[in-house]
Amino acid sequence: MKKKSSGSLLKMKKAETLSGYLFVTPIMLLLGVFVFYGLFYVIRLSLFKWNGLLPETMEFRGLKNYILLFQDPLSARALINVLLFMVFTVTVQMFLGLIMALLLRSKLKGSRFFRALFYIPVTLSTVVIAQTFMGLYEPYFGLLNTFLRGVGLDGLVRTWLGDPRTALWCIIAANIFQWTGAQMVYYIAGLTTISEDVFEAAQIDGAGFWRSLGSIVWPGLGPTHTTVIILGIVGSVKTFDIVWLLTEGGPGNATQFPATLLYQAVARNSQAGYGAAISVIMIALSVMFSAVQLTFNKKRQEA
Amino acid sequence: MFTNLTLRQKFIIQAVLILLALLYLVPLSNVVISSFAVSGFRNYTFLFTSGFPVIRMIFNSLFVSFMQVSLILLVASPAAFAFSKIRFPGKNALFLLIMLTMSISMLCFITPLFQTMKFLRWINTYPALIFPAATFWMPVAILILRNYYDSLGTELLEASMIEGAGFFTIWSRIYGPLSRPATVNVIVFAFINSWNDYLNPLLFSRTEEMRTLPLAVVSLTSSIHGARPEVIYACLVIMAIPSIGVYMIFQNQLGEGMTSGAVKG
Repeated sequence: MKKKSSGSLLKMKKAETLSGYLFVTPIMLLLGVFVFYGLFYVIRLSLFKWNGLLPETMEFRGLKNYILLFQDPLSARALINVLLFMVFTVTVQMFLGLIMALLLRSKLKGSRFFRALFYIPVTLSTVVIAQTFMGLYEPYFGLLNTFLRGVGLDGLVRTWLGDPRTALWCIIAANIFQWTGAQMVYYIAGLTTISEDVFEAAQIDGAGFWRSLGSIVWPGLGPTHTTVIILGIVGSVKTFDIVWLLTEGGPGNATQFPATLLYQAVARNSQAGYGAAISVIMIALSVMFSAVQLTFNKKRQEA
Repeated sequence: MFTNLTLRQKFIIQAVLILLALLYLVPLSNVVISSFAVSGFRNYTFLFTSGFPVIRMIFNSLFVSFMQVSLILLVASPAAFAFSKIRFPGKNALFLLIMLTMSISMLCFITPLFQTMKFLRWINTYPALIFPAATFWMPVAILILRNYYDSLGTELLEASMIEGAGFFTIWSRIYGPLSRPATVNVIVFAFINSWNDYLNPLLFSRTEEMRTLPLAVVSLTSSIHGARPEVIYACLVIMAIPSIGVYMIFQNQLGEGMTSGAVKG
């Protein structure tokens, strides 16, 4: 009797293991074809020179792609750009997103409208955002220059996207417009974890707005800050669409990003091996930041 | 803070909100207003009657989005269920592996993806517009759904197992239907992501007949259609309506996904 039940238990356990593997087989197959195979492929390809067409023309060149990549002034440009982009989009989005979340807590008239309005750009295609901002930046009848002329600031009028000094900032502004609503939502969720009593205690205390913001709200949102910052970093490493649509990396390479260099190398210059070296570095960075985020999430769940 | 307010504080908050709202309203309304510039609503009719295959592109966008969302649910839901409720060796390692792929841009695999598509003879076909982008979004869906399955507990699972139900039945009859709130999140965000996607069609569509709407704008700005700006704006408005609409309709049912699934692209 005892033997039989332990036997059927073993059978049940086997069935459970088998079901587990069956349930995850489709996702593993798809990721296998599109991601894991691709990963091995680009790591290998990054050691070759190849125009991306005939397999016979592949030529082993060791680490030369990486050496070229580190020596190329365009890589330095792309790195500086992506860092500037990261720092400014993340900080402005955090600040604005938190302000929005706090203001909407007041539940004044129109709160739902404002919340929806701030979130709308998140739901739009980057293509729509890019065209929207091209309409603002257009040098002759664009809204921005028209406005500047209207208020008598003609000196500030310029070809915003065509000027290497302003193009990157135009891209940064468009990205902030697109994604601040998402950060707002994270902060709205984060604020619900701070108990109302704490706010009230601060009010009885007579803590002013800025003081309670600095001493209660900001530190109480630790996990939200982490999420917002890491998502911002991961998103920055990937940034391609908005740059490609607004400037294609120009004018004169002033707004190159790692992803635009990669796309140009592979799709325009037939440098598949060199592009693969850029891929490998981007993948390494993305996975690294994801690992950091997963560690934080785990810590939070355990705490 | 901001719940017991004096009149003056209310006034300041309202003023700041209106100021911020203007920063959003001006660029967005500029698009809508510009879409009616010069010839009014005829910009829209021109878009549909000038020989530009916009109807085909709208169909492509709808079809590709529908297929991507279906594929994502079909693959991610059972996987998320397994990661949440079934015990099998290597489960945590596999889950971690999937989560680590979440942040990688599809663009990094441009050459291998292209070679795979060429090998499958999928270039400029629907499968090439559906499978890669859907696969790259599946880890997000698995994360959202797994979190929800985790919150459902194991009592139902144990009860069903005692009655002799298999895991497929337990997923499809009990936990699948119970995960409706998370599934709605996945559907909405997967749809928005797919509808808006620029990269996948940029890489694998070759002819205008196989383009989706985000690329229609690119065709309009650069091709023989040489469309006037107001027609392009009309096209943008058409493109924006479904994604804003879906968000507005489901706004009150979205929670989970907005904070655990929204990934910047």
